[in-house]
Amino acid sequence: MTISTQPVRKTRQSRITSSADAYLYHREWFQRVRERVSAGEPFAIVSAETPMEIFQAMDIPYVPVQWWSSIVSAKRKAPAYLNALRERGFPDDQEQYFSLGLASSYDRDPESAPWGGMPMPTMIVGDPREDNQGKIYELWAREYGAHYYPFERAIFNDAPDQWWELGRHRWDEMIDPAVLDLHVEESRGLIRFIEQVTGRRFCETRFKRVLDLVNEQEEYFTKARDLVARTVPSPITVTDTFTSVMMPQWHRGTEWARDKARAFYEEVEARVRNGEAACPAEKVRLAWFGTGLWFNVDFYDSFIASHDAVFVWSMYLGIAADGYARYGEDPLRTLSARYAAFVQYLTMEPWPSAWYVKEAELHQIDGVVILGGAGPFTEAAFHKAGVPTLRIRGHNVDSRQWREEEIRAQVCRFIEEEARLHAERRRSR
Amino acid sequence: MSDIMDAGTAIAQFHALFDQRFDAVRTLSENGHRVAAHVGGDVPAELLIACGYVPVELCGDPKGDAETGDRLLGAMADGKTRSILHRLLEGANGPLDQLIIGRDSELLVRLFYIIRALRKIEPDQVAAVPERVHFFDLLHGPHRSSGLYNRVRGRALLKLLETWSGRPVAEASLRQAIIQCNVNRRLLQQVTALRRQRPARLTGADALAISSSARFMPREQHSLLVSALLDTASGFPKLDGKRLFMTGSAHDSLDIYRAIEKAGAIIVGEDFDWGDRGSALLVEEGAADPLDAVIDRYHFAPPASAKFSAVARARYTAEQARQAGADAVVCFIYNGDPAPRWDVPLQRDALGSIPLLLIDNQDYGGVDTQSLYDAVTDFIAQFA
Repeated sequence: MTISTQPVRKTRQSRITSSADAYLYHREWFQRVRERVSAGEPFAIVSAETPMEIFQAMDIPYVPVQWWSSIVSAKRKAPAYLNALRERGFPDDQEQYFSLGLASSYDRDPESAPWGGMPMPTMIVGDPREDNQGKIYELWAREYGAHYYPFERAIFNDAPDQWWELGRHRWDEMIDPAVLDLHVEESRGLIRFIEQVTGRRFCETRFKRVLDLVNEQEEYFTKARDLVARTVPSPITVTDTFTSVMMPQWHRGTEWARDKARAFYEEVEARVRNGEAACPAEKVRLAWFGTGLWFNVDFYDSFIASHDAVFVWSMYLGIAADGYARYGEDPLRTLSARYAAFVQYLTMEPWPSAWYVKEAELHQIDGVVILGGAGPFTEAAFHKAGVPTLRIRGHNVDSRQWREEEIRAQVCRFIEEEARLHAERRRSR
Repeated sequence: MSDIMDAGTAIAQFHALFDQRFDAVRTLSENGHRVAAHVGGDVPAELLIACGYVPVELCGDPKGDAETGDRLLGAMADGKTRSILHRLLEGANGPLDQLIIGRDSELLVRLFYIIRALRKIEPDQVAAVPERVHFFDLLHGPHRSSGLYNRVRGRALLKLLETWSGRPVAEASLRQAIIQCNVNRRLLQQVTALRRQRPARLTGADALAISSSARFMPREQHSLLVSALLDTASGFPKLDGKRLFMTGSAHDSLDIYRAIEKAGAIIVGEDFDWGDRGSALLVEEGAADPLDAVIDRYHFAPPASAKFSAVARARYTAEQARQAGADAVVCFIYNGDPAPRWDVPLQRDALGSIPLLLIDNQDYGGVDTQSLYDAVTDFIAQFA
């Protein structure tokens, strides 16, 4: 058996034009935000699980912590920034996806900081769920002289079998009412807090419009996900989804984001209709389990040239399809239904494993590459479903831990020795 | 001389009780007690006692096997939580009728959902875990919404305990349980005062054995023993040594304290549950609604590391260290315990001229006590 580990050429520029458009839009938007903040407007840093729709309804610009860390990492700043964190006595090996934001705040030089640097935030809003995350947000806010609003989130005893089927319309059957009540109260508190701190007004009409736009957007993502899942060879790879999906996700609740989601779906649909594939000779369909490898996005498509292996799935399009659209009469409660159990979907067994296997089967996945510390249930669930897995060591934003050649060799071996066999069985069915 | 002997015997019995902590459930059950096992200090003992249970807080065993816990939790939790899971799955705690898991930290959340997932996916693996497992989700957020949520959870827990115990709880029973726990805490505060004397009258290991043994025996019985111990206090030794305050990870064994004190130090206080923090706040006895009063006590507890602000935690550590008259602070952190490391720079600031020795990356089951002894010896030599 031959193990092909030599570096491979890049295979593409961009298959999806909406991806480049979204990146450019966001870049320009960010610069406009810098100008607005310089002129005295409020600005927020928020965790990905924060009900951003509230900020959208109040016309307060925000950036998600995770997006900012991905940019810092992509700009190869993580090693220096994390070292700066350690020099100040904080750990540089915990929760880097979050602590990288704090670490970046020590670099105030617009010439060296990514994208000219983070605008001075008025507030940082985050879920203090992990034992150290609340502290990271708190320290970060202190560094900027900003407010920290800890958005408390509860968990509950029961776990439904197929949460993705209940989430859209029957969320009140799925989520413990006390957990929803808490989220509603925390949201009310956040609105009042923003009103007081910024002087901005909360318009219920605009808020409802924001919620409608989010649902419209997520339905386009659902249609795109379904198309990608059932189309062999796949029209796109995960690298086409990162920007096309996540930029609209970070701007969700705007017409722009809804239109970008539609454009993305239409592009995918056109590629399917025209028989355009990311890899026309596709032999192996892979899934990436974990957060994106932001300092090394080219990694994913590099196995097309060497093995005709395509990373078809990552969680970003999948969770956009299954985790966001929520319908209900009471706007704030419906919004809370989107976020109240969000972390449980992806981290608290047995919620996540069942969903990951469902997605793997839907996408006809031949092998799953798992980054970092998934629990044993995830691997066991894939194995029970007959889907081979490979666990690789590394961190999605901390490039210091990445061993390119070693990991590339592992993935190549995995494709050749396990995923390819699964693919042959799949095609023979 | 006879007083000293009496005092020594009184102290020694708490060490003996502490050493029997792994047999507590079995022993209590054999003696006719109804036991409610729990994990985490945020599970309100008052509610369990009011329902006729003896609360027993389960702990890890740093000297024991943890293979199953290691496999299932891996890097998701610290060694203590992995050990607790292992012991639960092995049935090492004896026969449990029910188990309540608190949310002192996210490590316990993981413990809970691993058990929940096993029940669904691999039920054979959790055969030794009782069917009655409840997650008690007490929050420590600063907003009123957290307090209201905690009240809902408190009522739900009480209702569940009533169902499990088969009898409704009279308000008088709850008030009596509150008094029982407060009496115990007041006695332990007297123990704390003895540690804080100059010279200190108890070692840190003695004090930790005395306070933590309340967690695996009937509170009233523990109070009688502590009361008897305090009667012998005039015979306690006068202990010289550098006065250290402990922060960082919580301890559920005495080994670390013993290793540190062997280096010539006296641990005069700490800021975690099984030590001073556990008795730091009483439940309001005259509250109109005793259940609310209980929940408030746990909600408004002094800041631990997990779940609390780094600023508040640092302030608390510094206040307690000063009140204890500490010469220095030792911050000892186990691998996999993610919160305390973020407190350290702020703790140093808050402590001002009081030095802090950081000992981190420690393996729960494999602390090199000789290296610890050496590090503490070198540290205290610097401010001799």
